[in-house]
Amino acid sequence: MKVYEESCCFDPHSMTDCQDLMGLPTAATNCHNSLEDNLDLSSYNHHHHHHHDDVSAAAMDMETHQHYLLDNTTTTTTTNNNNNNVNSHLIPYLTQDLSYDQSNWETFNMVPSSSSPEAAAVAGAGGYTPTPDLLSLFHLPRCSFLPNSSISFETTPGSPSVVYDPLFHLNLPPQPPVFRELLQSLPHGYTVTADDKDAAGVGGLYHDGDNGIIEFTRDISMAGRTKDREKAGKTTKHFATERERRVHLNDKYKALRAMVPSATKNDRASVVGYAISYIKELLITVQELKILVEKKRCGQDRSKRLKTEDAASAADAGDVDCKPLGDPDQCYNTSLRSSWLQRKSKDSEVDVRIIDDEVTIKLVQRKKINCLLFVSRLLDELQLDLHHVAGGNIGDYYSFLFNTKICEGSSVYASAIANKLIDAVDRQHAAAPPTCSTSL
Amino acid sequence: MNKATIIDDAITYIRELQKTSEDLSEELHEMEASSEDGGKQMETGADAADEMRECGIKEEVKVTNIDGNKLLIKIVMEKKRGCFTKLIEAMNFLGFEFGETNVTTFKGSMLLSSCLLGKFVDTLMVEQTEELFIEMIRSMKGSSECANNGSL
Repeated sequence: MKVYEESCCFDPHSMTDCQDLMGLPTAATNCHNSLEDNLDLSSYNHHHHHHHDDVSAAAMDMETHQHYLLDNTTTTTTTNNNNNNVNSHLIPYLTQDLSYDQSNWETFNMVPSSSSPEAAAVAGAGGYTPTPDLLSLFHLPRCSFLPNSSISFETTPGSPSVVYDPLFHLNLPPQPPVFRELLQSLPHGYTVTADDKDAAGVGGLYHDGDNGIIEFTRDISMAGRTKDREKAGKTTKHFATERERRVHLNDKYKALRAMVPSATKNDRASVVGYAISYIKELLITVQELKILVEKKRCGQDRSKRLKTEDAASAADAGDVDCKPLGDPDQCYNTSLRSSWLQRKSKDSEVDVRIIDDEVTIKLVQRKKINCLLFVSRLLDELQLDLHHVAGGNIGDYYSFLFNTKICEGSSVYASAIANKLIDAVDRQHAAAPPTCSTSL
Repeated sequence: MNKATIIDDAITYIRELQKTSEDLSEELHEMEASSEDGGKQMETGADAADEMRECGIKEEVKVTNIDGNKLLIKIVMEKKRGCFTKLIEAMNFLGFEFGETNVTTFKGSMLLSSCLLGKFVDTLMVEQTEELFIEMIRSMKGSSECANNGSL
């Protein structure tokens, strides 16, 4: 491991080291091939090393060496799985020993010392790129070495081109599956920070090759492109139609507000909020009404059937096949009817809950009138049987709770109750004299 | 789905739901009008009185003066449709305001306890109120359903 500690460069000359690390004899042959390929690049790449801050240059860097890497991916895929194990314990060493150029890669400061390949690789990957084939072959540094001036690169032809990829922050994964997963696991903030165009350009390169890679890079580039397109789109639209659109939209909001009964605020967000609660209320009401209609229908059917049965039994003594009572009962809705509505007005709040045949009504009203009277009148009207009442004076408000039962045969539904209640209370509230002398 | 279409859809949906609910409620009203509801309420009235007697619950009216202008009333009576409303009307008529009010029903009887706030309360007032309530209960006892009397 002294290779890493000393120069932070991978020295392919110490092939034995590599092999020891990998423990794979087959790697050696591949190593040779990639070395030769990369040697061609080395001078070219080194030239660009110092421009690590220049993304576009790095892009070119990326391009060329990616080509080579791609060629080699096929050869390396087989060794992938075997290499992962080695990755896990090698990479931590790498990350610990290297020094970073923090200013560029500070966001990638996570250097977990966990031994999981993914975690370590991510740490390394933050700002690292896969080095040329040699390393990728062994899958050692999913991390290459940072564009750090403190890192020295050997320029001798024999040395490997330790090519780092400062473009890494573009999250372009040049490497096979493992790496792609790692990159995908990175938080979104790490994606395209650099020029979208560059990414797009690079993305285009990968049309022949690993599909996974292509898709990923394409996604990045597409994301960049759509952003640009949208911005461009707005400015190129005709000014008049844009205004028209806005006016139409405002009108629609107003229309929506007009349809909702309990709208006090006028801003868009509240209108949408009212619409949502109103739709929910309407859905509950429709459901209740359906149940009620069904019940009524069943009841009528049953009474009709009983009448015909009576007539039949009178005519035919004993031979009539009386239908069992269970039959018509089955048409009753077996599920428990339940609904819950709330209505608010300026001075009052009404909460109506119906479960089966019990109605619970809560009323809060700004104290001005004796609302108990009106409420109890209304409850009688609605044929609600009072079972329990509790409430009184709380500060400025009257607060009451009514537990009632729906009289049999009556079909009331939650929204009807709520509506009538709030109407009655509001009417009385408005009609009451402004000053009500209360001596406490 | 952009904003405009969402709002449009919402408007259409609300209209649809409103129409459905109107249709259904109309249908319900028609059915109610055409159907015949038997005199079930009569039966329940009679039952209530019986139940009360069985349990040994006696009718009671208690009015007490507490703390200046406050009255505490406790009424136990037979539960009938609209009796609560009548009582409230009476109290309103007398010019009382409701403080804490509690009503409980049990086996055909109703217990009303309330703290009323009056404008001018003295012992005479207390007695009169008590008598009034007793009278009311007696009158309500007779009828099966309490009609809404305008004045007392």
